[in-house]
Amino acid sequence: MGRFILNKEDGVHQLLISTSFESVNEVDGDVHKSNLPFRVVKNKYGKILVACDSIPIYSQVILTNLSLFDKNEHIDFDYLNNIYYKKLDSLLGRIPFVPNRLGYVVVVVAEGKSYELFEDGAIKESDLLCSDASLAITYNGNCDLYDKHDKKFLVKTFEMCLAKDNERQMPLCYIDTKTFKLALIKGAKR
Amino acid sequence: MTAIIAIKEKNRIYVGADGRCSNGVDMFVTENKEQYKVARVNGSPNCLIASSGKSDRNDIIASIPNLLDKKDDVTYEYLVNKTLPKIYKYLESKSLIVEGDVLNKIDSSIVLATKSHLFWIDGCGFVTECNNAAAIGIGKDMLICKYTKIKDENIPAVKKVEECLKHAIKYGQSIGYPIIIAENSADSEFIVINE
Repeated sequence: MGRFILNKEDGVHQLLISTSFESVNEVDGDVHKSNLPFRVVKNKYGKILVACDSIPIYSQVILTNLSLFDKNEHIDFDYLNNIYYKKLDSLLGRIPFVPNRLGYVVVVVAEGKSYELFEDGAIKESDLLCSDASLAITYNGNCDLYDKHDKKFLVKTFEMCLAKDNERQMPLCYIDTKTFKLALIKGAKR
Repeated sequence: MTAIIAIKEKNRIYVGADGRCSNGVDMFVTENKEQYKVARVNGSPNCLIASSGKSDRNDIIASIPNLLDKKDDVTYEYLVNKTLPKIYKYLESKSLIVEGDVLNKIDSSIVLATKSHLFWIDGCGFVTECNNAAAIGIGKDMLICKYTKIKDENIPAVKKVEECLKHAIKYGQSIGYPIIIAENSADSEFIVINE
């Protein structure tokens, strides 16, 4: 399972998400674009950012089935609740490697709003989404200390949590909804 | 025990494996071409497949009818959604799936080289696309260690595969000759290097 922070400042969403151990090329520490923990897909109403925090075999299915986001529909709370979740649930139910259903979280940013979709169908709509309480607490604690518009703020928050939890550092992926360009942060320190 | 490495350079992919097989306490050398740990994919002769784990598993996976639907190249998306369920279903029909507490496993790691993509599939079905190299088997660490050292040297990729495997054989007790190297091109012959 990966970790992520997603915030929104001045109408721009910023996502910082960790890569999984399996995704990283052992030779040069790079991440092939197929193994990134998020994707960007376009529909009639703009770009949609989809990220996934789950066991890798769920993530790979979620991130390779982006046609579940209808090209002609508004991707909003109702769409995620009534259509996307049901399609996704049916798809994941067919994965042969998982005998018992496991948890997953899908983060969707579309039309200026961000959502967190859980495996039981619950959907949270918020401008701040964190994969775990540790990140959320550290984020809030750092809010007054750093400039929230800067990606360094998110990286700093992430690094503090990794150090606290004594977690192995993998490359971090950063993307914002202004440029939609990937920044791979390999040299993050504990 | 196994050492398998695949190296991708300039859209050519070379897959190399050692030739020693073990079955419980028995060890033997694969001299039969049918038992090589690297094989061409059934229906897609430009694609190569190699697996670690049970010695017979590679033959079984490579022989799955039209594993890649006769394609020479498949994308990550295709592999995840079409090929992987096919492998799982076929192995399940042969009772070769190991049931786990959380995840079921195929008890093998797989390297798949298509025309322009190199994939590593772990035992739980997680697919990783590799930029330049993939290594599996008990000799994996030794292979990666050697490859990291020589990857920027001005020698052909096929030679790098050979060097990596020689290193693994030298330091790995259960890894042995002959070395088998194949290229992802139907026209090429398998290279066999004996001690």
